Amino acid sequence: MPPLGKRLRKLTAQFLDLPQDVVFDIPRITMIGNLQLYIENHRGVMEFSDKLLKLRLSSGYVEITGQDLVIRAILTEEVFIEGTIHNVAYKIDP
Amino acid sequence: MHSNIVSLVRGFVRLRVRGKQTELLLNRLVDEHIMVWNISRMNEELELDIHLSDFYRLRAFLKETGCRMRVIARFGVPFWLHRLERRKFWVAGLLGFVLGLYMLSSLVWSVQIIGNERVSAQTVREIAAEQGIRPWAWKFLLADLDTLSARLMQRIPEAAWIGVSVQGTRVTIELVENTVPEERPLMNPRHLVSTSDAVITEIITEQGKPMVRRNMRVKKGDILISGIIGSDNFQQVVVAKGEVKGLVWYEYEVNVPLKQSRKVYTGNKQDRFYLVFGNRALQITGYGHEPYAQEVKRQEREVLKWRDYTLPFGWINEETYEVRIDTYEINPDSAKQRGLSQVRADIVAKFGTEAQIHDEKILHESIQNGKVYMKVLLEVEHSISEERPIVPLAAGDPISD
Repeated sequence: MPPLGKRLRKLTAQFLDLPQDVVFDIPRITMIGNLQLYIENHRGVMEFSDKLLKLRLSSGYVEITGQDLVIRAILTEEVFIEGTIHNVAYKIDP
Repeated sequence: MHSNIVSLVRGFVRLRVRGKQTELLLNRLVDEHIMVWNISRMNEELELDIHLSDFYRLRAFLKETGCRMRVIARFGVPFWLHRLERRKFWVAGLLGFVLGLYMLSSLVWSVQIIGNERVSAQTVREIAAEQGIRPWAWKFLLADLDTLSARLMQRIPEAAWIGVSVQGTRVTIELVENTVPEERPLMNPRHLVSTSDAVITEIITEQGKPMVRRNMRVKKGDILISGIIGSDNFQQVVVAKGEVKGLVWYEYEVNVPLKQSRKVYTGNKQDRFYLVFGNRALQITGYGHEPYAQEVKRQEREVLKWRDYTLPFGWINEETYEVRIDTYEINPDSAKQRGLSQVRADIVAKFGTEAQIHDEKILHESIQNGKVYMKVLLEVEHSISEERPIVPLAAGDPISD
């Protein structure tokens, strides 16, 4: 059973038809083809190379694989990636 | 994200960072709100862009994460300025050019004067030069344009309005000149005298002393309006002006032949077409015709035009009509009418359309040798005044005819 606060927020979100990322602390991932990727609400870079990017999330992490990956811009909560993206995968913390 | 222009103004460098904990460095920079961008991995080394101002804060974080870096490229205004410092003469030339352009454009290069008709442009130019409007004068030393035009107005009384305007390096002085009434032609003192023997029908005197009245009989050369006014003691000589009309009699001898001839078209016609280039005409059609014994030519000339311009090309349509001369007889009555209308036309030609024919009398009429002979007396009313200058014979000597 999740804590009461979380349940209440979920109910509110359903009732008011709000997007989930506004209410919960979860990332919004926007992808333009396989060329650009825009991730909001990340928690930092765990690993970065031209083939692999691991981004920490509020729970777990997301693993992006591809080729010639470049971080075009990075802010505390946002990251903008360019390159040829093959795979975006959610992983639970090791 | 970030604007490219802002980054260029602030200046940024591309770094290559080596170390085991480059991701940690990245997180630390992001946490500290140090903007980095275009991050890519090159064999264990991280390449990234960073603003020049943030670059100096980077050292602490490098030390903290055990990374090393080197600069591989520099971009932006601060670096350009640094490079310019070594090219002083080039910068001086650039500044000199800009300054020179500015100085040359703040000079008056030419003074244009428009709208002057009676005042010569040279005069206006000289007066304007006194007020500082001359080539090679500084534009910013010129007085206010309204003041300038007011001063020029004072110096050029012939102008009703003067406008001074500056377009770039050219000063335009626009004049509107006063309209001066036409000067009256100077006239000598004169009398108005009669041109012929007549009976006065009308006299209107504008200036001078009328010497005749209506219904008076005058002879050729009589003074109608005198140019000498006043009594014997107080005389003045003036230009006599006025309008005097009189009845005059003319005797005409006319003869009208009873056999008349006239031109008649035979109906034969030749067409010719010419192309015109400048002053030369080239005949295109209508060759091989025998010329007629008597002919009348009619030409229609067309010239190509475009707007106001006349082009030197055109064509001519020429039509030649054959004519023959027919003789025909008229009866004595219509010969008489012809003779009279000739006489009337002659009166109009001599005295203008204002002349009025009051009476026509045929004094004598005979037919001899196929001609009608007539003697006609006409009573015509027309202007009979003529100028005669007053030449003073001696001081105070009145002129009389």
